[in-house]
Amino acid sequence: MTHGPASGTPRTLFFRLSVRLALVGLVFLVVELAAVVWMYVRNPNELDQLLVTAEADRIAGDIPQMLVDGAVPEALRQPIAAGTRRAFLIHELGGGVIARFNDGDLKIADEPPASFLVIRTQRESWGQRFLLSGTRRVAVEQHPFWITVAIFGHGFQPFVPVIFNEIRFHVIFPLLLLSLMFLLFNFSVVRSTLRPLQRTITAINAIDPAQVETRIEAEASSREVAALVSAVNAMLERIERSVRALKDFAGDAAHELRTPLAVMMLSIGKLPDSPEKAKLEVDAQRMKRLVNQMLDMSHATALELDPDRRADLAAIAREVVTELTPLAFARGHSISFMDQGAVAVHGHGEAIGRALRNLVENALTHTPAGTRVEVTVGPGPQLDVRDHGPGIPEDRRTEVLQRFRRLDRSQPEGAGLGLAIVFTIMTLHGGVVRIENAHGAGARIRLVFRESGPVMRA
Amino acid sequence: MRVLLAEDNPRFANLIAEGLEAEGFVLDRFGSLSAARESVALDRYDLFLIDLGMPDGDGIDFVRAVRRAGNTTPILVITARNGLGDRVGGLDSGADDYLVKPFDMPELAARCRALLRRPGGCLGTTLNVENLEFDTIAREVRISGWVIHVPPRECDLLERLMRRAGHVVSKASLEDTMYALSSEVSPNALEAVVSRLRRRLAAEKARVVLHTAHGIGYMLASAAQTGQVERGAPR
Repeated sequence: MTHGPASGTPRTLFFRLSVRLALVGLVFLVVELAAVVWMYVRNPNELDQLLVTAEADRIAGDIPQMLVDGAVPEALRQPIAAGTRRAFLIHELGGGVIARFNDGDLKIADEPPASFLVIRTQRESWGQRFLLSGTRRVAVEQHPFWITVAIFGHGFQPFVPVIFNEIRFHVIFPLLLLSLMFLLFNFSVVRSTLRPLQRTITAINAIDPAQVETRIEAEASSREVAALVSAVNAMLERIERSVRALKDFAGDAAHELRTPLAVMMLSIGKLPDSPEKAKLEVDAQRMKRLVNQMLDMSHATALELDPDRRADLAAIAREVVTELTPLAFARGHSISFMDQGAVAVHGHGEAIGRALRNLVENALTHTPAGTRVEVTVGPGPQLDVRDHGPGIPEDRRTEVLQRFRRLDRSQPEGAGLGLAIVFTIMTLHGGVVRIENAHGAGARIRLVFRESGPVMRA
Repeated sequence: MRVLLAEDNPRFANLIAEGLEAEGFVLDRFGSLSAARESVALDRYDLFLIDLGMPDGDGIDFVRAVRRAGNTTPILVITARNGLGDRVGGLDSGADDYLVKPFDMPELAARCRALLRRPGGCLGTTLNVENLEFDTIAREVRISGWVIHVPPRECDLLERLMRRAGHVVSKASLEDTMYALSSEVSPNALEAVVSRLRRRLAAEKARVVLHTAHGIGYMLASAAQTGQVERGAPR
């Protein structure tokens, strides 16, 4: 399905299979026709009988009229087969002649059939020329009649209408009926055969990219579909492995970076008080925040959402504000929390907490001391952090959501990851980050989630 | 106060030991969980300090084993991992608190003291913040060594805040402890007690600040050491 619009939509497998099966049906039809024609050409006696019977049947159709006017109708003077001459004689029960037609010197001796049971066909040939004669018994209005026909002609030409008739009634008509049934059968068989494939595609499409542990149920009905399913599952397995490897890497990196950093911080703490020590402490704090943010970022990127998991926004926000309040006071800020009727959302509570924590830390970092940071949850599925700092210019609001972007690069704290972490976590939750300038002054950043109904509180 | 420290990085273990010994703790250091396990069976400790990432196993398993054996000694877990979901695992295993690397000495010392001060813990009955002291047995408040009179309700409030000094105590939990028995609590009762206590502490020149976190609760902190609080802010 990777074709561009220029190359058009590719045909469906269903269409291609149906067309091919229909073509096969058509080939059967042609082969059957050829076989029938070949059979008759190879077996002229059969054709003789058919031609005599055809003439007799046609004459029989006009018997009632001949009984009335005693004359041969004009139309009956012409034989069926072009290029032949034909004479006939009709007897009734008891030997009486009903009608007679002679074509020039082609005459039939007036002699009733030797037995009234006789049905015969006889051929005399001289090179290409032939004389056919035969007797057929017919019933008209429940009276038996015997029609004796003599046909004189040459070559194969006179038999063409008979062959044509044969083909029409014995080949084309039944074959058309069969083909129609064959097509209907194809239609339903192809469709039911492809249905597991369709279901598999639907299942693959339904996979949530965030859920790497998802696997597709194998359809037992066909080995091909089962192979496709197991190939897709093997691919999911590889993706899951690499996601897990990424997560493990984040954890390993945490260990590797944090222990030396801890050693460094404890060592700095042992130094005698001096301006250098103070600077080192600031540097170590900055590095700690950087390491934490990088790990938050890699965890957020590798996070998997459990679709059944719900998060209570009010409880999360309350916890984050409680944890960050000492930091706020230490930096000379005041902080407030308000619950305006938040609802539960589908999501990872701790990840949402990380997002909010990064927003609050950002607000505490980028606004002057003495100002207030206000955290509000609700109404509805949203979290809101408002500060009284310089705000974020409108033309840079998309930029600040990217990694390693900072509004003020001279500002030493932070790596520019805070809002990127927020954005990654919100994207995973199907939510949005709205950056606005607050009424008055300062920035207001809102995290808006998809709603998932009321919280079940214990 | 004997502390068992299980930490495989010798330099880190040295720094922790020196720092805590300067605060009056006695430390036994172990470089592996198996060595620590033997000592847990033989000796009595007041506190376990366990690094989760040890070369011979996961510290979480150690914590679980200790708890399964019926040992209720406070456990402070030190971890370099705080990925989403790691935190719950640490505390569910039976640890009392956790500290994520990197941290500084005052934070570690404060966490250790807080654990030892818990009911049944071995640390004395006197809570300190700067020049403010609270004797939890005699229910006596001293500022710079001078006993001052504090009414019972303010006393209860002060004790709660001093036990969690440097952290926010929620309004709801303060109301629960202070008005457990009275049937009717006016919405502003707590605010009134807080502002009376705040005035009293200021009048007696206590070097502490009683902060209000609007919508959350209150926090008692040293007035001089706000910088310490910042460093100690847990992530």
